[in-house]
Amino acid sequence: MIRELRKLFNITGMLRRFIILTLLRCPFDALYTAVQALFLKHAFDAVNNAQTSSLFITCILFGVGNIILFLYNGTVWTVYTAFVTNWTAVLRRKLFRHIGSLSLRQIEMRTVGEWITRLNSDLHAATAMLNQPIHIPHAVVSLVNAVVSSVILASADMMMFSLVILFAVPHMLISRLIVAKPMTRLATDVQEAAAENASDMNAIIVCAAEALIYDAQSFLLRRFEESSLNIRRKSMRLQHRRALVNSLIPLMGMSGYLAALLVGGSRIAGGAMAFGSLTAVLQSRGRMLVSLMMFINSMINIKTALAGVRRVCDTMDIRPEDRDVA
Amino acid sequence: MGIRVENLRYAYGSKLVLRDISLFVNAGEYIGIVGVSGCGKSTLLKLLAGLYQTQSGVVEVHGACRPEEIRKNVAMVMQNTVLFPASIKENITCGHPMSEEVIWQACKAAQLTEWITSLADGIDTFVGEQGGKVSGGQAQRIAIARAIARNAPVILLDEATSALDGDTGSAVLAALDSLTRGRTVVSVSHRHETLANCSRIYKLEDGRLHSL
Repeated sequence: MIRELRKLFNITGMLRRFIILTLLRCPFDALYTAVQALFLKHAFDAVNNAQTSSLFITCILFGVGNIILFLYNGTVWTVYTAFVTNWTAVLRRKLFRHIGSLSLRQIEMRTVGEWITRLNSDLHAATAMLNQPIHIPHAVVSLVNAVVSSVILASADMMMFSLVILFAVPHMLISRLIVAKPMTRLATDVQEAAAENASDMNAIIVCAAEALIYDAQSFLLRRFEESSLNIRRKSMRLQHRRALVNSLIPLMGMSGYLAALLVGGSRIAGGAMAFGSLTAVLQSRGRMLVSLMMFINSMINIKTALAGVRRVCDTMDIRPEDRDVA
Repeated sequence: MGIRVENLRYAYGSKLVLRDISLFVNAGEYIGIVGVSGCGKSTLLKLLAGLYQTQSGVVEVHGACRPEEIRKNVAMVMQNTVLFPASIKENITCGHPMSEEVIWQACKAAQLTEWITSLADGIDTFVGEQGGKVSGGQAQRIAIARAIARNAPVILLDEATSALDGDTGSAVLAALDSLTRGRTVVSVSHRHETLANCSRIYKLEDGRLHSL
């Protein structure tokens, strides 16, 4: 995955700027998690101890902290969006120019549908890694956030942290091995089916005169329908895998939550834990799991988009024949 | 039945390309139309094929006047043959039910049998997108086989013999001979010498048809 991304950034440049902007985006979620956990802990402690002034100060500080965080986040996202728009334009321009520099023989080696797919959906998939939600930026952010949440949870209550990890790790492993791993291959199958479908669509236009004279429109439409169904079949395989991750959420998430609640409840009853601490622990657990879910989904999306990245890189790797002669 | 064209006018927007064309072709007759590039030959042929709707005048082909009816009576072969991205067989049948005997007879008449039997997948060989996996001569002979299998009474040839050379050229000519024998044929070309077989030759100039 790293190799493909490096190749993609070799085409466009601007890797350093991307890393800096992505890292600048990271502190928001982590700090937001920490602020929320602190707020809940102090707010509930104040409520427990009936300290109105302490609750008022906690609320004021939480409000100010939120304003600062959102201003920071908005600024970073604005700069990042401008960067990604520029990056996408550079990649698109370079791909168009490269295809334009190929010889007719090289162009004719692939079908019209193949070129259309490479210029549209492959390019779209490649740029989606940077400009679509739940892709690289969210993967980095969610990973940092998961680490921060884990540290907060572990420092607050090691036993509860172990309990959460016990339910989170199998979910991560299943998602990684069964869903994320085959995603690139499944997405490549979809892109290839899309290229075939685009060729069949092209034939309806290019062969229009012959189709009219020989009454072959239904024949061409049938072929187009078959290749459209093939895309759907391939896409369904991909979506089935995605659905598997979603089905794991209630299984692992709810059972983990109930276990934490039962253990926490019995510890409160035994006087070993305050209600405010349990609330903060559950909040940290929630943030940690949300981050892990986002990370898993981001990885699945990145693996899917890698099919497009590979095909874009493959196109850029074709050496123009005329340049060789020169 | 043949072909009857009377007072045919056709324009692309404000540009008039065919002016008061009148043409009568008897059944079984082979006529030629010559003219420089862009003079309207292909437009006239598309009107005769029922690909375009007439704007003014009459086009009657084998007794049919409506484009969809005209198309049932014609087969067309062009210089730049466009094949469907399908197998040789599907290019000949165009997806219609057809007996193996008819298909192979068409292949034989189009001088394709020897080449097809030498292919690993035979008649089921995929010709590629726009015939990209076969040579120009082979693509043209597949198009001729398609026209033969169609068994239409009227054959329209658009520069069908303009770019022939060597062995491929003679094979295509032999195939065309099989296709056109006993049928009503209109052949258009920008070269006079490629219309040697025609009983009558017309010249299309300034949108008008002149007998030569």
